[in-house]
Amino acid sequence: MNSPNAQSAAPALNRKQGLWREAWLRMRRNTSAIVGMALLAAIILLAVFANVIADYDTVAIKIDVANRLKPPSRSHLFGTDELGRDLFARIIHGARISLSIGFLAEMATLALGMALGSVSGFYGGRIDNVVMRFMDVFMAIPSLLLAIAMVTAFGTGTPILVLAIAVSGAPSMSRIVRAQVMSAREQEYVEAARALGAGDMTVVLRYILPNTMSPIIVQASLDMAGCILTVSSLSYLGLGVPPPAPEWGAILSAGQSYIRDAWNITVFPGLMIVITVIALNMVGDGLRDALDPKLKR
Amino acid sequence: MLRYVCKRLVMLVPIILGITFIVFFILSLTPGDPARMILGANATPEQVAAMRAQMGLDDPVILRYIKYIGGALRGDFGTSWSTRDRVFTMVFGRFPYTFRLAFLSMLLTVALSIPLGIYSAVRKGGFGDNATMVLSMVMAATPKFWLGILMMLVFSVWLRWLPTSGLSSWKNYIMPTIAMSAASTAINTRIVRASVLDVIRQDFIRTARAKGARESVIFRKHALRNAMLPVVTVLGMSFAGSLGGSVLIENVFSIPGVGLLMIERVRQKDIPAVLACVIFIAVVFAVVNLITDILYSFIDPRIKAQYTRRSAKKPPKEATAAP
Amino acid sequence: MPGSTDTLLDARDLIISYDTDNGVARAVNGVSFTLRRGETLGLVGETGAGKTTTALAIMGLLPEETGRVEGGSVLFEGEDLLTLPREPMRRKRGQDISMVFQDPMTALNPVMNVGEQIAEALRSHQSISVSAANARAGDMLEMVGIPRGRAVEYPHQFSGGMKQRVVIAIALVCRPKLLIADEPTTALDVTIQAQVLELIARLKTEIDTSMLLITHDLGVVARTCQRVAIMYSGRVIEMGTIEQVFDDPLHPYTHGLFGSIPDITRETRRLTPIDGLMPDPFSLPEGCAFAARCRHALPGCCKPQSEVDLGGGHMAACWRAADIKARRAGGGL
Repeated sequence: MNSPNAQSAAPALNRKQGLWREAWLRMRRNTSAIVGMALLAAIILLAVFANVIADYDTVAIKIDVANRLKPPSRSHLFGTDELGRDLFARIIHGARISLSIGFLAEMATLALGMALGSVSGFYGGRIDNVVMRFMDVFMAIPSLLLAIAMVTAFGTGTPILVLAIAVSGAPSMSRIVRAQVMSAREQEYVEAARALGAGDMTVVLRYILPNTMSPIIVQASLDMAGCILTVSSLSYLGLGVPPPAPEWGAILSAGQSYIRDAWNITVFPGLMIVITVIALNMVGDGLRDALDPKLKR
Repeated sequence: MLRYVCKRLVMLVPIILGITFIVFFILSLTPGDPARMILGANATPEQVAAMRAQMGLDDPVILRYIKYIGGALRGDFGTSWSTRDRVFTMVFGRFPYTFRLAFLSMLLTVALSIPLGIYSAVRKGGFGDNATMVLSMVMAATPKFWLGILMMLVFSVWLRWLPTSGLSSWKNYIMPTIAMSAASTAINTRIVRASVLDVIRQDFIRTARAKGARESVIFRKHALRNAMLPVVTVLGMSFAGSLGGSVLIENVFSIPGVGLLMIERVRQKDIPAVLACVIFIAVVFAVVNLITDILYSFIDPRIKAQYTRRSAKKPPKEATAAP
Repeated sequence: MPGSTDTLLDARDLIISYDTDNGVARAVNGVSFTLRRGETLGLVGETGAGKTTTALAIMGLLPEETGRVEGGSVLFEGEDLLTLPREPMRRKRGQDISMVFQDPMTALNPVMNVGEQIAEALRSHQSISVSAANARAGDMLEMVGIPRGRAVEYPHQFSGGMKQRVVIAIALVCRPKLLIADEPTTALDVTIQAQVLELIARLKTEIDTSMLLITHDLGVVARTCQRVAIMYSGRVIEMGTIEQVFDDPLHPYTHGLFGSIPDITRETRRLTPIDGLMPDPFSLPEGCAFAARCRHALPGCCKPQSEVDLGGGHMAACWRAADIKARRAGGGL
């Protein structure tokens, strides 16, 4: 702590740590956020160790006609599906697909939304007008339909799915980012940075965005639940991840044909979707309360 | 008021043009040669080329789009690539099913979410409120199509009370309507609750108390009247959401609406039909949103003022003084 | 004095606290004052002194979930308002006691026209036909200087000053015996403040009511009030007629308060603000709340202070008040 620079930087650093620490302390007191995090952690662990629990090639997608449509038992926890595949194995491998596509899609939404929103909010004026009118149009199309149109045009598969979800989710994200950037732009530290000769890119990336992160993080965590729902919806319609990948919506869709013979194929994947979405929503709500106590009702 | 409605109608035109262009553009990127698809694998290259010219496939996208819109304005959305039927008749014939389902589920959403939301707000923190909030959290996280399948399993397969699919009687509408409206009912219940809780904290409620108005009057005339403002939006949102969700629910229950048609045609790569379905639903969606906004302005005198008097966009915030 | 026939309102040792996330905040800590019939009493103090809380307690409008009366009484025509059941209290509100709030921007229901909002006050207390109530509402609008034709308009169509006139009309339409005006002009443009204040003063005489005027503006008090009560940290620390308090402030806080007003008749080089802040309502000191900022503080100030009567109804909650008065008379201060 000898140089004056280090001394002036220290309080800023502490303040930042303090903010996150305080948020964490608030979050720890929030029962539903803790439950959400625990559920999410469990699902993530299942997804990460899916191959250890049940091998993908030899269990999750291996057809075993002799064992088809078996009810839940000790050897098959959730029973087997119409092709004799172990449903539990398929569902935990499905967690991998849903979580990773959901995460990737949300990251893509964030990237797109932040790029559009910060340009629009930072420059304002005509650029803002053009971008926002464009976003209005995108928002006027029901997002599932937009995704269906994109999948129709470009075919199924993970990259297309991620892109389709990001394109339909970016407009609302860009609005949030824009509003944040617009209010941050007027702050004095931004003016100070500009007065010191920082360029636009520097100002946006180093001064504005870092100070507008909390509402964006909250929105992203809530959005991710929506992403997972969209992925399973598209897969249910046969427009998501192609078979034999055990996507939850796809399992459901196949199971619907055997609804008279086997309840387990439709019940378990749906339950997993609900649990995952609830967990993400709980964490998102908890984050909102923790990061922005003013918003709390 | 008429001016406001006209203004909003005019604002709808670029939105609809935008929607149609985006969807048209995306679908125009579909790989494969439609001419060959229509003519089949045995067609000669000359036949294919002639077909392409006839369909205008060699024109730039913009030109094709303008032609498409020109046709659409006269009710001509082209012909199906898979059945050679007129797309307009096809989509329009399916629309009543989709509309009926969306309308019913909007009614159910309103009938449930408003009383539940008010009840929850009044009993804030009580058992009824907590139960409602937990249920709404679960319902909001439940995919519509899964709820539909689950109900089918319970009420059709196990209990044999209700038919699984088809549209032979009113009983066929019960499960689709519930499945369609569950999530929006859940979300709207929360919105109504939050809105009531927000309004009863407002200063004008205190003014009403200060003048000695009865609590029942305060609740009815001051709190609810203001709390119901966002509910109108909710109404529109739930209708619009049902239109988007029709793709899923119509698939679950094999209801021959626009949504089911769209998915059938997606699988057949029948682009004109898909295009018309998406545009159709999106335009109805935009129109419903517009109607909601106009309704809203009838109820809330402030909104109208924003459009009729340009000078006074918002009441000036003279002071936000602390107590 | 309490109980004498011309006393309209008599607040005694009122204690009110709020439950907050950070603990219990004691907003009012033993407020006592009296208000006579026909009189205007100014209740003066800084933000957070407990003025509005006192007013809300009199109205029975403390926030139900968080606000709590811990002790004391508020006698209105000899009847304790704090123990009155809900329904009789509701009948008093608007009919016998009315209140004008600080911020007219939010005080009116945005989706109800103003005529209806005025008429509602009448219809809450009298069996009166809708048309008769509307007619009286129109009369009342004219009394506050708004054409009666505007009764069908909505709050957003009025300016801030006009809205406050509407709020005043609502408060006075039943001709209450007591009007509580809680900083009625603070939220208004400076140019309109005088007009609204003058309107309130005029209507007060016209309909012959008493008024409790809450403000932090000593100039306003000098113009409109007969007597004044100075509040500090949830207590009335000095009370008397305008002349007594303005000419001869005995509590060091009051004295400091006058020191912080620029005097245009004299050339002042700099204002003399009182150093320090009001004590934290979460942990009030046991003794005089002002002691920590007081230039005259002595060890004896740590004990709870009682009010000292300095003659002619001039009271100060400072055990040294008499001493200060004597010294000032001798030219010592």
